[in-house]
Amino acid sequence: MEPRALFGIETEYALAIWSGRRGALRAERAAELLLDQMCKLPHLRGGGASSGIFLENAARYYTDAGAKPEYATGEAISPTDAVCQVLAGHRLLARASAAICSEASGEQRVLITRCNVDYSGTRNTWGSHESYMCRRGMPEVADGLVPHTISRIVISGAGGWDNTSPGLRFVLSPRAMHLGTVCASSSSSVRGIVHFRDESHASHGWHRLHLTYGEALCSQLAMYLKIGTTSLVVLTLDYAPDAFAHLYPKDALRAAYAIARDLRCSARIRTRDGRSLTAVELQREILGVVEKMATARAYPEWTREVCERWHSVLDALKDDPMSLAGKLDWPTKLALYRDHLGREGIDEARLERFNQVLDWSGVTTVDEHDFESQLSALARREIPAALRRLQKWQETQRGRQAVLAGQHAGLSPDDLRLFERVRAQVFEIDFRYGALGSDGIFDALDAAGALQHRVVSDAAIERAMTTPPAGTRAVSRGRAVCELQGHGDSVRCDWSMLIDAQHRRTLDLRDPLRSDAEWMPHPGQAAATDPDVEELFDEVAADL
Amino acid sequence: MEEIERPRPLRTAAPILATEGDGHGDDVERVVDLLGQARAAITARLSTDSRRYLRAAMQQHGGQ
Repeated sequence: MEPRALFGIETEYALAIWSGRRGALRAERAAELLLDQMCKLPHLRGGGASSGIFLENAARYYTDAGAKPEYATGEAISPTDAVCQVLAGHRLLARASAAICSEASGEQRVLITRCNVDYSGTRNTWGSHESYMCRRGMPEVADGLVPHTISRIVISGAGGWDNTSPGLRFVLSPRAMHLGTVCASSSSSVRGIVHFRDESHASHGWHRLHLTYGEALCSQLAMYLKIGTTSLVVLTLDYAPDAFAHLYPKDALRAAYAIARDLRCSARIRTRDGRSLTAVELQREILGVVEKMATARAYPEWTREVCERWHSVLDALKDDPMSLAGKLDWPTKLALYRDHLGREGIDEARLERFNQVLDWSGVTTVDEHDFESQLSALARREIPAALRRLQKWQETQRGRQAVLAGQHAGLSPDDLRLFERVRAQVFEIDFRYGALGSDGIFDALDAAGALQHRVVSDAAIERAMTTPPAGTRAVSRGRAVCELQGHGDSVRCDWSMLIDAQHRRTLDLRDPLRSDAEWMPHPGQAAATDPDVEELFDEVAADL
Repeated sequence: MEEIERPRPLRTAAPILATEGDGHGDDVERVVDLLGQARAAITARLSTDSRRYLRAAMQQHGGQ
C-alpha cells in the first residue's frame, strides 16, 4: 500500500481556577470541574488505553498526568481540517470555562491557556504533540526527522522566555531549552527532539510517529505550516528514509538550542555533508527535497498550497523575520515584548547588561522557588524561627551578590528592582497571551483585527466542534458517538475500536483510512483475533 | 474549500518596529495598530503584582 498522509494533534493546556475567597483551587479539583463541563457535550466514555471521553467530532478529551486538560483531535488528512479541529478544541474549552464562571455566578474565574512553559519556577512545560501515520516506524526515520524538527521552529516556534535562564532571554521555542536528548523513549522524563513511542492504534502495517517537541500555537498560519510541512517530510521519509540524511546536524542538541536562541535566524549549523546552513536555509533544503520527490511520487492534493506558503514564509524570514509579526507567533510576541520593555526604558543593550549581572550573581526564580518549597516543607516540622533566619541570610546573600555585580555593570539597586518587576510582567504577559477567549491577549488582538494569521474561517471552526475531519475513521467514530451517546457504561470508545456491550457488537476502526466502518456482532471474525477487544469487553462487563 | 480564507500575500519587508511617516505606507499602519492594540490588551489584563499572580496560577497544575 502507498504511503498516505494522516495526522492528529494533541494540545496540553495550563488551567487555573480561582474560587471566591478560597483562592486558587487544587489542580485535581479544577480539572474535575472542567471535565464535568465537557461531559455535558455528546460523548462516549473512553475505554482500554484511552481514558476520558470521545466527542461527536471524534476528538478525545481527558485529564492527563499532572491534572492538566488535554484535547486530542480526530484523525485528519488535510492540514486545514487539522487546524479546524485544534481550534474547535480551543473553542469548546473556552465555552466550558465560561459555563463554569456562569454557573458559579461569577464566584469562579477560569483561565485556560496555551502557555508552553511555567514561569513560576517549577520548570513544568506544556506542549502540543503530533502524530503522523507512516509506513516506516521508529527508529528508522528518527535521523531523517531531526533536521526538520529542529529548524521548523523558525516558523512554528511559539516564542517565549527561556525559563531556565536567571535573566530575561527571548527564544523562538521555549520548550527547546528543556530538550535533554536527541531521541527519547519517554515523553515526560527526558525530553527528546524525536520520540520513540510507536503505539500505532492501527492495522494494515501503519505506524504512528509521535512528535513531542512541538508547542501549542495561536497563529493559524504557524499551525497550518507546522502540520503541513511535517506531514510532507514524513511522507518523503516513507518513500526515501535517507532523503534528509545529508542535512543531519553535527551536534543536533546544540543546534536545537542555537536555533531557538537565534532571533535573527542567522546562526549557522554544520551539517553532515560539510555545509554550514542557517535554519532558514535548512528549511529551504528540506522544501527542495520534498518538492523534487512530489514530482515523482503520489502526494496529497494540498502539497502545492503548503509548499507555496512554505516558500513565502521562508522568503520573509530570510529578509526580515520581524515582517512576520502578526502572522506567526514568535515574531508577534517579540514585537510586543520589545515594545513593552522599551516603554520601561529597557533596550537591547541594557537588557544584556541585566542578563550578565544576573548570570554572575546566580539570582534565579527557579532557585528561589525551590528554596521556598524546601522552607515550606521544613516549616511544617516546626522549626520556623531557624528557617526564617536562614531565609533572611539567603536573601541577603543573593541581594549582595546582585548589587555588587550591578555596580560593576553600572546598574543601581533601583535598576535591579525595576528589572525584576518588568521580568515578572513579561512572564505574566506570556502566560496570558495564549489564554482562551476574551481573557487572552492573542484572541483580543485577533478580534480587533490586528493580526493576519488566519487560514480557516470561523464557520469551519464552528462546524468542526461537532463534525469529524473527513475521509478517515474519525467519521465512523463521530457517527457512533452521535448515535450512542447517553447509553451510559455499556458503550466504550477507543482510537481503534468501539464496544457496545449491551448489543454484543464492535466497531472495528483499525483501518485509519476507512470512514465507513460497520458494526460487527461479537464475537466475530475481527474481534476474535484481537485480544484488546476481549479486554475491553471484560472492562465494560465489570462496570455494568 | 471555498470557505478557506486566503491570507493576504506575505510581504517581505514589513518594518515591524518602524515609526509612522517613514514611507512604508500600509505596513506602518498595520504595525502601529498591532502594537497599539497590544498595549491596550496588556494594560487591561496585567495584574498589579505579576510575580504573585504567576505563583498563584501556576502552583495548581502540572504540565510535564
